[in-house]
Amino acid sequence: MKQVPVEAWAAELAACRDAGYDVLDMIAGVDRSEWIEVIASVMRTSDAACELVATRLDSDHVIASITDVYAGASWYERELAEMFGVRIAGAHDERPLLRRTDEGAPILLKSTVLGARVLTPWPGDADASDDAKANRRRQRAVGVAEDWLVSDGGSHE
Amino acid sequence: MTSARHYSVPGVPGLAVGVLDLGLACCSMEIGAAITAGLLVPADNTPSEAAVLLVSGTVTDAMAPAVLAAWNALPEPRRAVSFGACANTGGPYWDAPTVLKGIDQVIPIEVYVPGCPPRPEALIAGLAELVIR
Amino acid sequence: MPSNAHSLIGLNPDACTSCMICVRECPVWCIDLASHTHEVTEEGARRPKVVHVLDEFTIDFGACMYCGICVDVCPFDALAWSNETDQSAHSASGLVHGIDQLVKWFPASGS
Repeated sequence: MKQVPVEAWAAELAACRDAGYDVLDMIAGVDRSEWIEVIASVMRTSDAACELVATRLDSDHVIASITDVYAGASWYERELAEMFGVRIAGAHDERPLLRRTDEGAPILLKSTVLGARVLTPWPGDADASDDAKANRRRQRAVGVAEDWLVSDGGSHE
Repeated sequence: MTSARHYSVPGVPGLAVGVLDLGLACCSMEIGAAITAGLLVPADNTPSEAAVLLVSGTVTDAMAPAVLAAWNALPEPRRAVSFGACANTGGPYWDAPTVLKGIDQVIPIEVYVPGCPPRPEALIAGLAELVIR
Repeated sequence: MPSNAHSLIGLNPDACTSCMICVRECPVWCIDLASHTHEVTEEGARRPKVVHVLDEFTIDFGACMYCGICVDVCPFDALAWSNETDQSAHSASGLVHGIDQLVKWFPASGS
């Protein structure tokens, strides 16, 4: 995997294309908490060679569009924008992919709490020790931050 | 709009259905597996009692209007089968704000086939339920 | 159908201690368990011991992703893969099965 600074992103992908990597397999975003990693996978059909190019977005979540290098990048750039809150610089398709509204934080960021996980009563919260005898610690579902826990100490029925 | 394909189902005598396969995610691979295994046999011009809309895979809110359009375009009598956890309830994506919590919120479902994915045999069992009903 | 096919999951209610581990590990929250505690005084014991009594156990196979995490994490082997074929239903709620059905899907010992 080739690690490049974000400033070199578009130039590196253009170099890949010029080296015969004719297919953009995919671009993926990964939330590393401290930064967002963006990885592009390119393939060369003549000899089935694959190359991965990665960059990291630290405080400033902006990356250059590479749609002029690989037209197929458009879908993945829309995904990065919608799911990770990454801003795409340069001419690109701004239409949303899956979201019907602009409401809410980018849903693939780890910091984003999914409403359904908060609003749906977690079956793991129920406990025979609700009679307080066993005095077990109440638990919280994965993906629901502590300050999101709405606990009235009673049942959810 | 894609037209329905006709199949005969050797495991269910007398069943010949016109299936419009709406494969939206990985579950749709199992439809192909059912055909490869000979459980579902493509047939030309088989008279079908009912047009069956087979919804397999994750239905996003963005995709739901397309599913509804496919349903509305299907001639009567028509019936719909929900295939797999995603189409049934949202499945593994139950907590995603972009995913429908079951295709039955959009179109009337007659048979729900459980599985993630359901096995090809489960598809045949589900289609047989249409007959028994 | 291959014998190792992920089909359905069966429950042995006698082995279940209502520990809730399966319920809490399930990624899709499709298991519901209800139990109550009950004091049992055994002969010769100094104190009565508290046991959990299983009241309800349901799996929503409409949501279940057949990942088998519940089977793997159960410390008491109270959950096991069944060789039964998948069961279609005419309603989404028809895919929710309770103890009465799940016990039938628990494979007989030795199988």
